[in-house]
Amino acid sequence: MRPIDDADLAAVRRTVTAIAGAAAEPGDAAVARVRSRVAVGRTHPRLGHRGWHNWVAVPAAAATVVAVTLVATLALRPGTDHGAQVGGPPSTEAVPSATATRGPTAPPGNVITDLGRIEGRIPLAEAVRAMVDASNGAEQLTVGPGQLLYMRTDRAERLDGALVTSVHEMWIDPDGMVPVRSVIDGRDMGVGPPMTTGPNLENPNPRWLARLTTDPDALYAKFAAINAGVKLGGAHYVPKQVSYAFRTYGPLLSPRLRAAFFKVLGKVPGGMAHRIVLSGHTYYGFVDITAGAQWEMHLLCDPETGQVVGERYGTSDQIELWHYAVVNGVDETG
Amino acid sequence: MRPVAAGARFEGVGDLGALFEQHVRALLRYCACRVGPDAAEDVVAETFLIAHAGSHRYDPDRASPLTWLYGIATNVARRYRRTEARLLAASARAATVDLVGEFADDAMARADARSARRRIARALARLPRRQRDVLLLFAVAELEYAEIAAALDIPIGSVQSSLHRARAKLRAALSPPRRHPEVEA
Repeated sequence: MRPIDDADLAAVRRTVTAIAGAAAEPGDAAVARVRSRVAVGRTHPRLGHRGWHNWVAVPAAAATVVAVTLVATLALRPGTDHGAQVGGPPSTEAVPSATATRGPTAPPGNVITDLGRIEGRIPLAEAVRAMVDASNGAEQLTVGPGQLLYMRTDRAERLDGALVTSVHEMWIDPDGMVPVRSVIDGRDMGVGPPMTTGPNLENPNPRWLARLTTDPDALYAKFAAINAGVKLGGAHYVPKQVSYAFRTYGPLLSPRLRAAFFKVLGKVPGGMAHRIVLSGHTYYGFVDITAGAQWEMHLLCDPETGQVVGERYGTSDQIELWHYAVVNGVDETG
Repeated sequence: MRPVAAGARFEGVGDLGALFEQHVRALLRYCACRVGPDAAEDVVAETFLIAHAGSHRYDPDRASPLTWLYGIATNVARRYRRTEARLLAASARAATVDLVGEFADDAMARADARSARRRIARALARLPRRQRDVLLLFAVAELEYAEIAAALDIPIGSVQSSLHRARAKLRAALSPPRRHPEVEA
């Protein structure tokens, strides 16, 4: 037997470091993205992992559920202007008061009966045009002083032939779009006083959104700037950032701004879209090419209402549907 | 940032926040080497979520927080095995400057380096899951045998045997192909 030396380990390091590329030394932008995803539980939802050894065997659904409890310590994002600390009482911005209002609704009752299927590719420009047109009539929620944005996420995954579901409810302070209460499958997770920065595209408030440019090119540049300086370039992460924005505060977008967000998706190099049929209704699914097309991650958009209703993960047989409402407190669900 | 002592039990959100600040880069580095930079962010995010949900299961007598996090990250990364395989395949096809640069003046050595790179990537891709996990925790995360055993919840003997087998395959892969057949006596 040859004597053991470290040449093999050095070769391994060189090989896998090349896979990591510049990310072998992760930058602030990468850390910020991870922090952001942890803060809002934005990893790919995978429910009920099996076969993990006991001391780390925690269902990922539970992990996702507790995500918002980390907001207090993880929401401070580097690389942005350090603004006012957010938390405590909800926004007191001078916007019209409203009573609890049911917002855009995903498929009927949010009862997930199937995970949808891809019905073929649709030209990206056509999908964007349809969503831009639909945006004109899209319902926009307005959050009044003291009110919160309620978000209910229904998730489903096919496991061993059965449909496993989970419900995650969040009450979101519109000033910074940070959760102030989180409940998963009826279990109150609690959150601490969140800190955040902004306003920016990740932590906006309604007043800031009202002033945000609706020029698609300028908006694309702003989305790309969030991850400026990373090896793959900020543009690479535009689909992910737009998806995050729709998920977090999509219902608060004005029709013009909503249309501009869709136009940004239309500018993504290599972007693509599919028709996806779910519960008999056809949606346009914008592929999150950031994750790699092979993952079949789609942002589900309703061409009839102009709303983004959820996300679908084809390769892992999962779907999540979003529902929003404006409520007067953390005890209301709209 | 609040320092978190190795072996310290962490409780509550605040401590996990400190853990995040202290270890996120190490985990990103390790995961990026396994599944690429994009998927690494997802893996690391989920790792912290799982750590938070399972913090009561953490045993400070068994492993440091970072070792524990490496174990979780390794488990999460297993679900990206297709991505890992694809990246290794791409790496096997590529002939990048970083590996061949040091041999820039020697065409033969450069070709050998490319060939070695391909063989290492192929060998890594073909390693059984446990052997690859153990090897990369040893070579990339630079954990000791006992730490790997704790991270993966396997006996230390299994760590040693897995590492031994993995390294034997790598050394075989690294052996340059003979250009001039030798005549055995």
